[in-house]
Amino acid sequence: MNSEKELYENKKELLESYKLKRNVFCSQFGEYADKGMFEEAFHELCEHMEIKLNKDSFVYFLDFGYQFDTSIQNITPDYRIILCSGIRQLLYDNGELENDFCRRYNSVLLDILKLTERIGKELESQKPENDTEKIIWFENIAEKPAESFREALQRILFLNQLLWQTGSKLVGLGRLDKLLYPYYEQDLLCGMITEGQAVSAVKEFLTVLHQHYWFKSAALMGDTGQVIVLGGLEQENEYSYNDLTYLFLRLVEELGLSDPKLVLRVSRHMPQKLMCAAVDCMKTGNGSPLLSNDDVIIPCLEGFGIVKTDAYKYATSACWEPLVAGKSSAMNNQTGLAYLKALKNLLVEERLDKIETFERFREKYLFHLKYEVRECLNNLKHQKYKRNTVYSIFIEGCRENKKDIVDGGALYHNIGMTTVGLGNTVNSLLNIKKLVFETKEYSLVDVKRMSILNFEGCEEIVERLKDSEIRYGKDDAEAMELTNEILRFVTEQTKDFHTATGGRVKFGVSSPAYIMDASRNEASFDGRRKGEPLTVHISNENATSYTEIMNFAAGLDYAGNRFNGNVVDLIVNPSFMERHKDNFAVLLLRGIEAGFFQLQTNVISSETLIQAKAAPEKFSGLIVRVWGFSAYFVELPESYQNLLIRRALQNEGKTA
Amino acid sequence: MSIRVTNVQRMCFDDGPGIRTTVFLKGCSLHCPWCSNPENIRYEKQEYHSLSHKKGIYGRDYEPEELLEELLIDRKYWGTDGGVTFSGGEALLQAEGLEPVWKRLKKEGIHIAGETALFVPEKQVEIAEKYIDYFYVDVKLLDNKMCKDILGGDTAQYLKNVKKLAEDKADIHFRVPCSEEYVLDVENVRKLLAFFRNYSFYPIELFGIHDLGKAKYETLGQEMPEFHPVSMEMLEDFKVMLIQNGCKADVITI
Repeated sequence: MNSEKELYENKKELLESYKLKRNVFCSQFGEYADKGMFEEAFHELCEHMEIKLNKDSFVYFLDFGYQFDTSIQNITPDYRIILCSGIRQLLYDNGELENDFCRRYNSVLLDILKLTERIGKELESQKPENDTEKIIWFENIAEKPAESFREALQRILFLNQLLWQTGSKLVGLGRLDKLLYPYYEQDLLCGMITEGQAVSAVKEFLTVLHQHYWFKSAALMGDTGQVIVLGGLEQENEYSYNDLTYLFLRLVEELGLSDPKLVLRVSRHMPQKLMCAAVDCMKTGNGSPLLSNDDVIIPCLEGFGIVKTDAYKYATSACWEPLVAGKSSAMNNQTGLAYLKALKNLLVEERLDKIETFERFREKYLFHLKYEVRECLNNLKHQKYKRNTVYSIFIEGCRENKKDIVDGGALYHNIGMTTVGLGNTVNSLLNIKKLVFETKEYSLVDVKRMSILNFEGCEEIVERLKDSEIRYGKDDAEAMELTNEILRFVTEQTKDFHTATGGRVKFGVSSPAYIMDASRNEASFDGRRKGEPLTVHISNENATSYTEIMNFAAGLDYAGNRFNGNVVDLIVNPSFMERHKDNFAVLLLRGIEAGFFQLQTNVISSETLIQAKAAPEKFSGLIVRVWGFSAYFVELPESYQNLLIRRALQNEGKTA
Repeated sequence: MSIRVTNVQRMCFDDGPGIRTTVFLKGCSLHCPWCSNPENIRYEKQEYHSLSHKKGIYGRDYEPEELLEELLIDRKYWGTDGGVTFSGGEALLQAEGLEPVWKRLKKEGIHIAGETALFVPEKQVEIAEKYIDYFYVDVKLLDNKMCKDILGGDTAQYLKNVKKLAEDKADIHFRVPCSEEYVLDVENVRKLLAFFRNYSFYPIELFGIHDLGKAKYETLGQEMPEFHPVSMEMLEDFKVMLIQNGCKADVITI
């Protein structure tokens, strides 16, 4: 068994034991942390945490004894702040310290300074590799902006480390090719580093971030949200990328690690060569990069009210949700809408014999969906967040507004809602239309009975439903129209909602809940029995070509607030990819032009997955894509492994 | 005139340059024992039973407009290099019915490829070459008796059609489906070398025949004939022989 998996499985006990050890010499921390006294707890942390240095080129350590409880997660800080300024320059003037936020803000910054001084002293006494350089970096950080490429990488790691250490999860890394390029270019030009040294530095940077992924993983092993965003439109028609874009793609391809993950912002204006490099990375099966289509997403962000220049700066939070990196506290996954629940409620609560037409049935469905949406909004209205002041320092807007993230200090503080089961709902509605209202082979009462009894005694209909064409995820005009109607309806119901701090709600069709919610949803009239997984994002293994799925995705209307992650999820056979790599890149470019929103791949064969499940010890490095992240297959729960095997078999035209 | 089709397959990467949509036409003038598309041999519609016992019919008649509409769904993925490929069966056997489709595609500037064994009347070749930009021409058994006995074709007609296409400067790409028993038989190889020496200007793609069509035979209640899979070494040997005879040959995987 993989040791990381063991660590993750015993995470709770392990962290508890670290806490107990810490209590011996710093008992106050626990009290402060428990009471939500962030700054006091942070002070204790900076005073007492263990500083671990090793042979790596960069300093990066986590002390598991200090565990914070914060709900600020799933966002990307503005790393520019720590790169472009010394920490002392960020302090408020003394005159402003009457304000509670300013006082807390300054106290955290002073403690960060204290920690950097402690690190400096440890470096002097322990003298690890490259100690001189590291000592200078930790001296500079107090007063000066970062001056070199390696120093910039160290600062990013330092802030990243602080955010993980203070309990935030799914800490994004932002658009690093753009952010780091000036340092890289300058160092190369003045001969401060060679290209080879830059490559080694980025490699070490990635490796350092991969460490402790068991600790960083949230709901599933690999669910770390360590996303590096690359490339993207600078303004209309102008696609920006550089040597670092290629370097990150190449190194993630070579390293074969589950972390960090890559998102490549793509556009019809990007060069084909870059797409080929992305496909080379995908081809390894590591799930990176997820492609995020600027041509579709940026207009959606602008349409939602995000300032144009900010819309062009978007990154994604942990998986796929577009947000303005460093300016948004757009916490996602705060509540989940289950489309199938409304269908179940309709069947249970309505006089079915009175519904005579499909139009009426559809109206009834939307009526019940309205109540599900309301429940979600109600959850959002009453959300309470526990602060992490470190994050508030490094998100634009908080300093200017003198307001914490939890009080709506960030420039953008909209909120994300996930949705699940749209594919199952659309397919069920279309089957009901055909078999109940057109051919009249079944009544709605039959449908209800089958759902409640989980198709017991009517196996033949399950086969029939499963055999019938699965239309969600194909370029079927009726399926697309119905999908859009439901999506627009949810927008109608959510567009006027505001959170306690004035944020608005956004949603998308991608969801992490396709397995977690499976048992909560009754059998559905697409032939899915209770407990079987729900549709994964925008996918359809029965489609005969990827163009069918891409056309479907391109036909959906993502405007309004419907842009919070809409991923086409493809299973690609490795031998197909091997033979058709170049054409696959062209296909993706044309799909971008057609207008898919986002796309991710699992380049995997059923044979490999089946072998890996049977002999996990031989496949410890096998990476797959689940939800919106890359993870080691053997470290996933069996239900996720089985679903991937089933989908791979279907993709190969074999019976699952 | 309607067009009898068994399948319109989108996103094909093996049937010509770029990304293509391939139309599989029903009906063939040959019956090659290694055929991987047995459902396309007979022109008549045929009932099949899928492995999950689902019944269906191989063969659907399209009006030209209807076929065009289905083809054009993926137009945005073709670019200027990709397009539509007409395969089979024998694509050219339905040349008269296909002419309005080809005419329209040509008018729209869409690249058209055709996969043919050229065992068809000259008249059909004449129609096809007005529109088809890229010909895949099969080269199989060149001994007239063997060809007649095994495939059911007349080599004289074939050779005449090849000559015509070459004289008319068609863009020809030869494809040779190789198996130990048939095409790579010593006598046939000798004839192939002589044939290709006359057409050394055109590229030749060699590939080993495979049993991927096995499941389709089963759906028709038939058994796929047994044959020895050809080794990569044999394919490479033949390729070298062709190159040494001044031809442009390559081994491909299908």
